Amino acid sequence: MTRWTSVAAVKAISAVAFVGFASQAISADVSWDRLLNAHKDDNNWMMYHKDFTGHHHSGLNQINKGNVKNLKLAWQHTPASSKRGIQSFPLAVDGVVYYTSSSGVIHAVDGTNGSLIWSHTAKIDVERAEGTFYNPYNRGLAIGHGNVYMGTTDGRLIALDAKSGKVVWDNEIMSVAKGNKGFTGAPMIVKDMVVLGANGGELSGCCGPIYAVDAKKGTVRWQFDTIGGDQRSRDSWGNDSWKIGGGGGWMTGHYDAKQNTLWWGTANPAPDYDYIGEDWMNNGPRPGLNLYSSSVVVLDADSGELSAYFQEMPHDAWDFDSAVGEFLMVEGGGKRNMVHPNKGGIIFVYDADSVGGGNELAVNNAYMIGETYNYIKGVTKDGRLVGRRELPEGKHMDVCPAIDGSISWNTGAYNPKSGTHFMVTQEFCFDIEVVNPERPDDFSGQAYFGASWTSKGPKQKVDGTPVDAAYGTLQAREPLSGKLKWRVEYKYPVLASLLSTGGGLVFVPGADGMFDARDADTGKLLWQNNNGLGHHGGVITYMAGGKQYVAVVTGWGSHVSGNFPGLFGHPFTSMPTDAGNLMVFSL
Amino acid sequence: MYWSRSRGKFSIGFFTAMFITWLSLSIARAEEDVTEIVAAEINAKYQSHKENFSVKRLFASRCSWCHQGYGLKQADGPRLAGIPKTKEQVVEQIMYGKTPMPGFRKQLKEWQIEALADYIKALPDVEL
Repeated sequence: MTRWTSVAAVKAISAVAFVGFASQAISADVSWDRLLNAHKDDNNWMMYHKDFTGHHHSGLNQINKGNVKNLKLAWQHTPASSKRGIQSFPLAVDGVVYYTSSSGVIHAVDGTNGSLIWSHTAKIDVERAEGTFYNPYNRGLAIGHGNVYMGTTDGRLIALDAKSGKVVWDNEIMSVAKGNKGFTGAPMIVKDMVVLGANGGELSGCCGPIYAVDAKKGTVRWQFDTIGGDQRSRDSWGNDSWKIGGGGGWMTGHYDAKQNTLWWGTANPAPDYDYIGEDWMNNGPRPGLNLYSSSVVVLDADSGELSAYFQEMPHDAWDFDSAVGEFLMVEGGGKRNMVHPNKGGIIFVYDADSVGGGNELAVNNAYMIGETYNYIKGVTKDGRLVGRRELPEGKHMDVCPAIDGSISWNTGAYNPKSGTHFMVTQEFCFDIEVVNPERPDDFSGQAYFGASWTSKGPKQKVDGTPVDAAYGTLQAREPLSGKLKWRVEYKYPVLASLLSTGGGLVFVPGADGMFDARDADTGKLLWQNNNGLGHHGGVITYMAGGKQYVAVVTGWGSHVSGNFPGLFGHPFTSMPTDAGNLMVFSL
Repeated sequence: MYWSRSRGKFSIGFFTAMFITWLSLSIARAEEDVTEIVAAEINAKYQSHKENFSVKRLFASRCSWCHQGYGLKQADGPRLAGIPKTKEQVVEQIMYGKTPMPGFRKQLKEWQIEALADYIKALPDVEL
C-alpha cells in the first residue's frame, strides 16, 4: 500500500467512524432566528451568555430545591489539553455539548453520556501566541449558520462544520503589525456576522480592536479600535501614547436587538499604573483620559460605528477595566436598563436606550459591591468616581483591591422571576511599588507595566470591621437599586461563573473544587460535590433525552488564581495547573 | 579542667555570637529591602550599558505581572529567589519562555536579559 492509498484508507475509516458516532446525536442547524429567540429555549445553551438577556438563567426545573440532594455525576470528559485549566463556557444544542479547552481545542460530545463525536485542535503559531501571558487561554465558542466558531491566541478565527468538525475556513483576522496578539474570548454571532475582540491590555500595542467577521466567508466586515480609532480617543492620550496604550475587548459582550447595538467592555490602558499620580491629565506615560480604555462601548451592529460609551474608570490607574462580559438587560422603572459589573467592584446601571450619536451613556444608578476597597471612596449614582487614591511613584501599602479587582472576568447570574442578581466578589489587597517604566517602541506589543506588587489579605472592611484574611462573597441583590437580599461568605473567593435556574437554585463552582447548589431565595447550601480541582470557567444547564443536566468545567491556573497559594496556602500550593475536565451532573 | 572550661566558655561564646549575628541579619533583612541590596550590585555592573540603569525598574515593567514581590513571592509565576537553575538556564528561559511564560528575546536587549538573570540568581532565598 502506498503512502497515499494508506492516507485515503485512514480518511475513509475516520469517515465511517464519524458516521457511527454521528448517529448518536447531531444538532440541528442554529439559525440567527433561533439565536435571537434563545431566551425562549431553555432546553439549549446556544451562546456564551445563553441568550441576549445576558441573565445566565435557565427556566429548567427538573432539578430543583426538593431533589437537588440527589444530583450526581452523570459523566465527565477529559479534553486533549488543559494547560492552566479550562476557562471556557460549554454550549449545548439539541443534545450535543461543544466546549473548548486551552490552546484552541474543541470537542463535540454526546450530551447524554459524553462520548466523542468529533474534536479539532487548532494549529497555533506558537511563537506569536507565547508572546503574551494570556497563552494558552481559550474561553469558549459560538455556534450558528451550520458552523462552530473559535478565536485563537494567534489572532485567527476558525469556522468548523458543526456536524463534522471539518474546517470551513481558518483566517487570520488580526495582524501583529500594530502590536496586537490574539483572541482568548468566545466569539458571539450577530445576524450573519461573528463578533470577537482582542486581548492585550498590558501590551504596548494598539488598538485593541473588536471585529465583525462575515460568518460564511470569514472576511472582516468592520473593525472598531478601542483606542486610537477616532480623534476623540487620540486626543485623550498625550504624547501619542495611544500607539502603546494597550486596550482591547477580550470578553464576550452583548447584543441589543431593539437598538441594533453591541455592548462591549474594554480593557485597561498600558502601562498598568501611572507613576505621575494626580497630574495624570497633563503628564506621565499616558496623559489624559485614555479613551476608550476601561469603558463600555456601544456599537452599531451593522457598521461598527460608536453609538455611545461610558468610561467607567477615567484614566484607569489600577487596572480595573471594563472587560467583564456580563451585561444584564433588566426592565424596571419604566426603562430598559443594562447592568454591567466593573472589575473595581462597581455595578453600573445604564439606560439601554440612551444610545446614538457617539455620546456618553446615561447612568441610572451605580453602586459598590466590594467590601474592602480603598482605591476610591465610592461612586456617585451617575457613575462618577469619588475620592480617587492615585498611586504615584513609590511604595503604597494595603491598596484594595489588588490588581485582580473585586470582580473578575467570569459572570454572575440573574433570576428574572425573583429579580435577583447573584454576584461574587474577591476581597484581597496588595502592597505595590510604582515605577517609571521605559517607554517601549510604538506598536511593539511588549509587556508594559509600571509596578511590582505582593498580594495580601485586607485589614478591614469599608465600614471599619477588622478582617484577618483574604476572603470572597456570594451576594444576592436587586440589580437596579443594589439592595442586598442575602450574602454568603466564602473562605476562598469564587472565580468561576454562576448559574441560576427555574428550580430555584444558584450553582456556584468554588475555587477549592467544591461545586455548590444553593437555595436562590436564601443562599442556604443544598448540595455540594468535590470536583477535585478549582473552577474558573463556565457552568450551564440543558436538556438531553428528556433529562436535565448541569455541566461545569474544572481546572486551575490563571493570573488571579496565581495569588491563592500565597494568600491561602493549602490546597492551592499543590493544586495542578495543567488539568481539567468537563463534569456533567443529573438526577 | 581548664581546657574543658575554656572549651565550654568558647562554645557558649561562639554560639552566643552566632545567635547575635543571625538576629542582626534577620532584623536587617526585616528592615531593609533585600531586593534593593541585590539590585544595587546589578545596577552598578550594568551602568556601562545604560546610565542610571535600574534592574528593578526593568523587572517591574516586564516581569511583575506574574512574579510578585520583585521575585520573592510565588504568584501566577513561580518564586524566583532560590530558583534551582543555572544563570545560563535562566537566560534561556527569559529568551524563549515556556508556556505560559512569554519569551523576551525580541523585546529585550541581550545585556538586559543578562542583568535580569544576574538579579534573579542573586536574590537570597528568604521570605519577604
